[in-house]
Amino acid sequence: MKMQKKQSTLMATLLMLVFSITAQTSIERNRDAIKSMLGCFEVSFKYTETFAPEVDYEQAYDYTSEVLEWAVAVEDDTKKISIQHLLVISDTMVIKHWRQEWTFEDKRIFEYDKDNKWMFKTLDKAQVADTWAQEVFQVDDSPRYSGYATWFHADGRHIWYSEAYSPLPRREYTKRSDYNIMLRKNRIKITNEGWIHEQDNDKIIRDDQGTDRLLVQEKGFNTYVKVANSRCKAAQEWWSKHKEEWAEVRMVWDDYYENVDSLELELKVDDKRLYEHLFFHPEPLTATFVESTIEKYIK
Amino acid sequence: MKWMLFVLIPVFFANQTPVEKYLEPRQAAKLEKFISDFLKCENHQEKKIIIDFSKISHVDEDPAQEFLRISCENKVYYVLFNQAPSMKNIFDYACIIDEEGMVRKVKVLIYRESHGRQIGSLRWLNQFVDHRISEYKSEDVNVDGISEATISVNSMRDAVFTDMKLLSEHYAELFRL
Repeated sequence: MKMQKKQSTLMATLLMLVFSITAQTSIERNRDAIKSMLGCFEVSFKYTETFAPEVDYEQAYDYTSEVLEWAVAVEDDTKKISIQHLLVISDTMVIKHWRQEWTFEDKRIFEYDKDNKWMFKTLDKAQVADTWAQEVFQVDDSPRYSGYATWFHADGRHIWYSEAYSPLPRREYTKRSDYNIMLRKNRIKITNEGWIHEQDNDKIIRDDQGTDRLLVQEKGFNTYVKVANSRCKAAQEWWSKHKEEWAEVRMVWDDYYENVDSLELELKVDDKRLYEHLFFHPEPLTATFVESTIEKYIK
Repeated sequence: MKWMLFVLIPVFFANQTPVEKYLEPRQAAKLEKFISDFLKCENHQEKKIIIDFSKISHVDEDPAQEFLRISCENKVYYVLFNQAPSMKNIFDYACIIDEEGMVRKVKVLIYRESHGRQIGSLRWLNQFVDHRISEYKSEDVNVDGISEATISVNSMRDAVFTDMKLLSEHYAELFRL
């Protein structure tokens, strides 16, 4: 009897150990996939509108672009990785681009409503079990969109898929007024060359009652091909000089993100968008300046 | 009291824009968008012109039809809204013609079938454009290459051809032909 009890205990301990190792290995695989997105990349953007429910809809022109981008980790913990993307325009010109933050089993996410308003919600532990949330932030670190899902690793493929409502993409927000939100179906695939952000987007008109009407669907590919880090030297140097300032900006935003149920932002203050105040400030950004500037945009 | 109706009804209709008076809201909205997207003019002026639509009626029962004179920044355009039969229903289309009688834009605005939406393809519709209404020939429009919309595309080609023929024969004074 005692022997049997000992054996059961040993078996249970072994099983827990195996489970723990498996879980840890799984997190490591996920982290490896996410960290594949770090480095210097040649990025191509391709978008085309596909299907529209109304026969008189005229497809917009296709969009294509190519850039060089440096992606650097601004935070790298076991269950959280934050990646800052920087555009390398030339040897002397770097522009801070978008940021993506990955968090394991993150229960607090935000969702875009419309008219520059985001709703924050807390999910159940069960809903987010074994998932990674990807939160995407604008160039000024204000929110953009977020989604959560499980990473799949099989047959040498590493894929993450989620759906998220977002504001209009930057390539369209000054050009289009015929829709006001985008339902993004994001597929991230790690490849041998780098990674691909494949999108199936719905351009949607959401009215004041919250009813959605589809304007047109869109297919997009952001293809990242890894190149030598040396090609992104300008971005590395720029970030080294400015990273502390942008850490201040993130801290101010984090305070809002952690404590509000919703966040509605002004489009412009003093006839400028937020990023214009932050990008073109003649002095290095200080906590005081950042706080007071961001505050002006909070409705 | 009856005399008040005789006064009020014309006043009521006189205060409405021509598009809203005769078309359903969805049709009016589509037509207005069609005009605005083409003209890109902030304040275009619309004026309804009475024409004899019995000569260009492609459907049997009381079709929605409009003929408008649009002025914008010293330019004048004419917009024809009409309906034509598809396989089991009718569809709405509109044409923009300039003062020289050149067809500038043709569009299917509302299509009510579940098959044949290719009729809305810009590439196909552009065949109707850049023809003078007096020189319009139905052979100018090739209906091959559009699959599963044979009835509709033939119907549209014939309808537009008839529309242009009517305008050039009976309303030539509107255009510098």
